Amino acid sequence: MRVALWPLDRLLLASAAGLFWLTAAAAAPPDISGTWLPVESLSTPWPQPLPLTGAARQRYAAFDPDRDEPASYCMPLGTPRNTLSGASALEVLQTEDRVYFVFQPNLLNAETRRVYLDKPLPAADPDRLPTWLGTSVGRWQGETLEVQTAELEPQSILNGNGLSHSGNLRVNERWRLARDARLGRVLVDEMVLDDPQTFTAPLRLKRVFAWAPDARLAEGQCSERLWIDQIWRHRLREHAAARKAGAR
Amino acid sequence: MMRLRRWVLLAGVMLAASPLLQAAHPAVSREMAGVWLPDSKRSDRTPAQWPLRPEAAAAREKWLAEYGPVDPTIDDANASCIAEAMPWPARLIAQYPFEVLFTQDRVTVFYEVFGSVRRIPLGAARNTFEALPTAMGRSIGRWEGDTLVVETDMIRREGAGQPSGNPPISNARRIVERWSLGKDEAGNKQLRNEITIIDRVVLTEPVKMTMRYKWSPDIAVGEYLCQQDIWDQNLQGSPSTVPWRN
Repeated sequence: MRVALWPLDRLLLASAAGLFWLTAAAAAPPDISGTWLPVESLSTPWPQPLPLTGAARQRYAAFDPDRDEPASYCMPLGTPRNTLSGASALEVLQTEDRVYFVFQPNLLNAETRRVYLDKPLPAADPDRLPTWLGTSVGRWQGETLEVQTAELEPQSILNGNGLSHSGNLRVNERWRLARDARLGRVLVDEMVLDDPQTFTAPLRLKRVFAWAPDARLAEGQCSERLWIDQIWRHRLREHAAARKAGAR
Repeated sequence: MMRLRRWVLLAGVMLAASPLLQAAHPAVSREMAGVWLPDSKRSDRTPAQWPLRPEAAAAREKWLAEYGPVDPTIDDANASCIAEAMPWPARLIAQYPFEVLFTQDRVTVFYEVFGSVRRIPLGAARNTFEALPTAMGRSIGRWEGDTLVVETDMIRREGAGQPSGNPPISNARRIVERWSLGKDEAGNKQLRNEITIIDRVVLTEPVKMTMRYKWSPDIAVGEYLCQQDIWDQNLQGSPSTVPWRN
């Protein structure tokens, strides 16, 4: 059947469809999902000198990477180090009520930050243990995703130089899309670390991730090297013992 | 009549234009998404006897003669914090939750155990560039009605049961899973996973087991810190008793 459309019909249809799309686009948050690669050259370095309290300065000076680096023991980088380190591609997954930030640093285990949207941070509860990834909530403010993270495990550190933090660290982030003249589409994270026990003033850092739709996050197995080492050493000891027994 | 036709046309255009109404998955995916716990009482156990081909059984006996007896404290990859390989995270009966997430053209499964992340593209061609076997393997999924069919290959052997007492596996191992929703006898929502393990090099016939999971909306997938003991020992300043740190 051929449907004849009068000019008024066409105008009505075009207007309605356009209005509908505009309304939907206005209501929907930006799509930041996909795979992103950290861009060190666009990120802000750690300030020098660091605005540390006296106690934090002492801890920082005493850092021994052989003894105090959790990642050497296959523990997580933790939040916010996973986001700050630039050691991993980032995968973002979005739903109506959550945003997932997945990191899989090379030779480390996967770390998934879950950001629960439009919910307040839970009230402080001494019975609830801090975690390496913390508790994160967020909300879309126009084109910007505002994220608050608390309840962070104080055993984690903030960078490879051993910058530590207290259990009262609050991480406030503003994630937004932007365009870079060279890289094109980028995802910017403006982060504020607020921890009066560690910093004399809130610390502001920026991290930038470039859109990389073809990048794949590789599967890490942090314990693999340790395990192979264990197996081989054990087997070598067995063989050595067998040789000795045979020689007697 | 003209007015009615105009409204029908308008509704059609809006339907076609609405991104919200162009569902990427069947409605059942909304019911499948979320956190699940193994229903150990209603799930199959790993078979006691595997239908090994004679050459696979002989290879296993040879391995045991050379390196046995198996010492789980030394030989078990999982006990040494090597992530379990597929299908073991899916057939786990210990109470570790996992989360199923549907996004555009993909299913992502977050297992609490070992913090493993499994990516299942839907209706996609196999990515031939991912050539190295991994614990999660290489999965693709498709819908057959309300059943999600997931095929997985390129599964690494470490952490897949060998040599800790389970049967050997080959690089030809392939797993087919059929996920569907149902209810248990009490009427609670249930996710069912019919797992078929196919390995023409090792097995004389496919091995099947059916897992069932409990809908657990009040549970969150937590952090899995396998290496916590070693880290704690280090923090306490005590020398580790773990062999690899001697």
